[in-house]
Amino acid sequence: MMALGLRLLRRETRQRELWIMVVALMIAVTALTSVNLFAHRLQQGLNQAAGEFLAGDLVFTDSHPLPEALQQQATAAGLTASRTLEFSSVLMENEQLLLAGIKAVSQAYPLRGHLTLHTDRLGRQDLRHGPPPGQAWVDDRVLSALKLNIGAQLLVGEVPLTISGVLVHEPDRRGNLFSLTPRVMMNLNDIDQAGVLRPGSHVHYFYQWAGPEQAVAAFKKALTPQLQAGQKLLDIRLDRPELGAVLSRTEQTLGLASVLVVLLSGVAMAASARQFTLRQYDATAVLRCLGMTRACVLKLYAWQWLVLGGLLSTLGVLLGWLGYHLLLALFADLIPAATTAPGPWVFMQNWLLGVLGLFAFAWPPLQRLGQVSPLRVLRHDLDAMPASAWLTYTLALVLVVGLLLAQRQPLSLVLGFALFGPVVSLALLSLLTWLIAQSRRGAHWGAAALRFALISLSQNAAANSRQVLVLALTLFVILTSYVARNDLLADWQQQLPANAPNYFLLNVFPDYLPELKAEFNTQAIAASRFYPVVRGRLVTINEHPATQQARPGSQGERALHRDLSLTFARDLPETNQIIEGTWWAAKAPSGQVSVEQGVADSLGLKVGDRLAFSIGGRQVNAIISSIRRLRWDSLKPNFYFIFTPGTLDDFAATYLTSFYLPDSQKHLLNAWARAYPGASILEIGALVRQLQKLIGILSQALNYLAALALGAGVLVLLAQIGISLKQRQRQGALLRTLGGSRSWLMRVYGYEFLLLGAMAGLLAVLLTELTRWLVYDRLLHLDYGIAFGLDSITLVLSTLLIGALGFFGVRPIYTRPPILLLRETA
Amino acid sequence: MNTEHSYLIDADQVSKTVNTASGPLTILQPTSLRLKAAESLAIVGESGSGKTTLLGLLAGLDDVSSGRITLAGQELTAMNKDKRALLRNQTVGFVFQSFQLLPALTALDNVMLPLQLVGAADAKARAQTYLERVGLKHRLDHTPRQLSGGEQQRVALARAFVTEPLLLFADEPTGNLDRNTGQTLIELLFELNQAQQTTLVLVTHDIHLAERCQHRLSLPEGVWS
Repeated sequence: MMALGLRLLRRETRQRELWIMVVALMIAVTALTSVNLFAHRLQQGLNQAAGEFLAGDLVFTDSHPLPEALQQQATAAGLTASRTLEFSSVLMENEQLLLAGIKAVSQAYPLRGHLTLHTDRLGRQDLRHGPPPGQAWVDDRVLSALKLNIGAQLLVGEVPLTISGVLVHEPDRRGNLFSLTPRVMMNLNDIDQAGVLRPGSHVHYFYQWAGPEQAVAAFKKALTPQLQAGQKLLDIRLDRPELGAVLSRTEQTLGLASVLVVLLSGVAMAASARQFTLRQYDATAVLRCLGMTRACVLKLYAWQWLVLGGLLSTLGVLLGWLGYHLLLALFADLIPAATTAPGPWVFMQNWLLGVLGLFAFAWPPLQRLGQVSPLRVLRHDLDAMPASAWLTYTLALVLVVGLLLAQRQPLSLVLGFALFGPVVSLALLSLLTWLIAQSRRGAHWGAAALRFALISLSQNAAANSRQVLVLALTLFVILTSYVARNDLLADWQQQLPANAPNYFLLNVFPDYLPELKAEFNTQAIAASRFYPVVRGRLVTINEHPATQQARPGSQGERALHRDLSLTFARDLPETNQIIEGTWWAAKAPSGQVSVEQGVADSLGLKVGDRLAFSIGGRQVNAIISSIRRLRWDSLKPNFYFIFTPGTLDDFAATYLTSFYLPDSQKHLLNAWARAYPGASILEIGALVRQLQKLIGILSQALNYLAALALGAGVLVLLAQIGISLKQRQRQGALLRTLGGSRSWLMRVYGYEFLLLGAMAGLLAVLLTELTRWLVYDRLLHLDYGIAFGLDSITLVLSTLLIGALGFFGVRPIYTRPPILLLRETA
Repeated sequence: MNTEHSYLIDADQVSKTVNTASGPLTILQPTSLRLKAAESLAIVGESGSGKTTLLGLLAGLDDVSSGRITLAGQELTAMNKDKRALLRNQTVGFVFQSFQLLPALTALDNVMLPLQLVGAADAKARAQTYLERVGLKHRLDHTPRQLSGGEQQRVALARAFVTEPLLLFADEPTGNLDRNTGQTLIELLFELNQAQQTTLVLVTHDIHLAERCQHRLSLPEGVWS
């Protein structure tokens, strides 16, 4: 059977239709492969970028050293390891006291990212190692507070260290921004001599690991179940929510774009398979008549498609691999170097996806060949039943949903697609068929050619509506890729403009406020509001211990284990949005609190719940009056809990703000450090640069995806017009035989395709707006507004483009003798 | 075993009714016929009289609405579609008005096809022999598109006889050919038929062609002569 199938297939290679299908499939598989490989690599790059904020791919922390056995397990897994430990210590030099954050680092630290050191001799330099034994690198503030200079001696515990540089950047300075103490970094080898590690001393141990993606993942999987109370693995998303938010969105957007490419490829596959199948009806009837059973017929075509799919997938994967390298070459300066090359499984996955995709989209029309009646050899009008819509959708759905799940897309997106995709498509198809069938009613007005075009459209309402839907879906995919690229990036860039805050100023005493605000005004520094900050813990929720209600490992649970920065405000902060309840009026009574959405979700909080906080040993009660959504990526001060003014009046507050300071004004920092002792300045410029880099990569990747979508889309448009070409040629030939002039026919087909183009354009615009609303408003929580300008351009362009493609596509009707056309289309 | 197995075809009160929007429509009135091995029958009648429908039923290409058909001693009407397909492959050959060659295959491939379906080892040699017998020795590697109508029908004849079937069904075999070509083809058909002692059932409008057969069945009345 295979031999016969291949022989038939080989002969089919002479047919134009097969070549159209082959090219369509090749483009689909190539696009899919290069996008997947690129996305995989990008993902790796992003993870690596994320790793730079943790100084390793995986970080474990505990208040005790990690058992030796576990450390050996990591080494055996092929991971490189580094170790740091952190504790607070009071330093005294020149009769000045300072509480400093000491960090002792091992030789290999940092495994990811770099330290930036400033020395008088060498200026600024990026380093991949910590201070050598006997030396210390310190924050500028340590020097000013302790009246020291570079080269001076500093006593940490009992060990004297020479200050050999000023620490400008530390990749993994983490967590509790608001109790930040100035840093002293030393070598781990000096720690014993310092004699600070005694039983009961408060020390945090950190173990960083780095290595190939799979090895890290495997070790993480092995380590997680062994974690005990107090031990945890750091997660970039939870520990650095501002970066986590951008990472998650980048992944979601790329995933969304690649799903659109898959869908578009599917449309191309389904269209070509349908054409191919229709061509096989007569041959199948003859085979059945000559004694071939239905099972054999199916086996024959299954072999053909398996071989075809296998060959095309192999070629597609190869071309996709080339495309991927082209992309890498184009974006070489944007994408970090890979730690590991894509493994054979990535290629296998794409190869399998190609074969499976071909079957998922092409099998429904193909399996109908098993139903072709042998009687068709006598009665040519006997067609097999059209492919079952349910089967078509189910197979395509299973494939796409599987793909989405494999990509770890958010469940809401997967479910939305799986549930609404088929329902919306079927509903649209029914509506379109009804509308097109009604177009005959409009046929009593207008020119004769327009009337005939309307009648012709309504006569083939079912076929035309399918065509409009496919064209609309194609335009929709192209349009969505375009708006995703433009709107999302514009939105993010708005969040991270060139003057996005690059410093936080914290622990500002209330006395300094008037002077500091005046200073900011004089120096024309763009700063956010000054927020009062009071430190406290959430202890009970509706009179029950809060710890009992937290989802393990969640943002909320982590928030319960440390002092939180609490604030109060009369007005809602600018990047916050109320999603439940209401923000308080100007003179609202005290005792109300507004809670951040993520924490509210993980602690199961809702409006009306009673919360109790412990602040400075006293209890403060508040009722939740609203839940807020906020933008972690805004780089402005964000708070889990905001109280009504008056609620925290009994407690001493310090103030917090974020601001942008250009390089030219950096000298002000030292002046402020002296003028406002106690205040802390935190540089977040590296974070901003990292976020801007992410957005740059994403912008380029989306450009590429949009270009692919456009290329595949044009092919789908051509294939769709090709499908109806034969039937239109036959109709045109008949009309000419019956005396229709060429110019009249040109008008008829011109009107017909312009109408189809307008319908497809209108539907595409409606679908795009619906999707934008769903994605922006529901999924990504962005502002949504109708893009009237883009919609109008799409409508006009689709009408003209499809009109022109169709008009020129059926050109033989006007140019070739009708008798030839009749013979060819018989 | 059927006691009437001396008849190669035995159709008893066979009819066909189809459902239409306006209710059931009988497209073949109950009809009976019996043919022995090597006999020939012409089914004649006007358009719409049910000739092609009867041919389709006799060849097992369609299901009967009532009645019974026995083919080469096996009851066709009791078989499912796949068993009927197998029986067709073993005992029946076809010639159609529209030739029904696979456009993607060469003349030789088309003739080899029914032999390949049963895995015959000498398919190529036998196909070449039959193409030679219909005078197309020099056209083996041509596709149907490169052949004239008469040549295509010769390929179809070779394909029909290559399995040496007991029965040959022909549906208007000269309907798409000019008079002279048609005449030549009919001579070839009867010559092969004679040589292989095949039972022939043909549907035709052509009185002269019908007269060359031993029996005639006129539809829709079902008159046997």
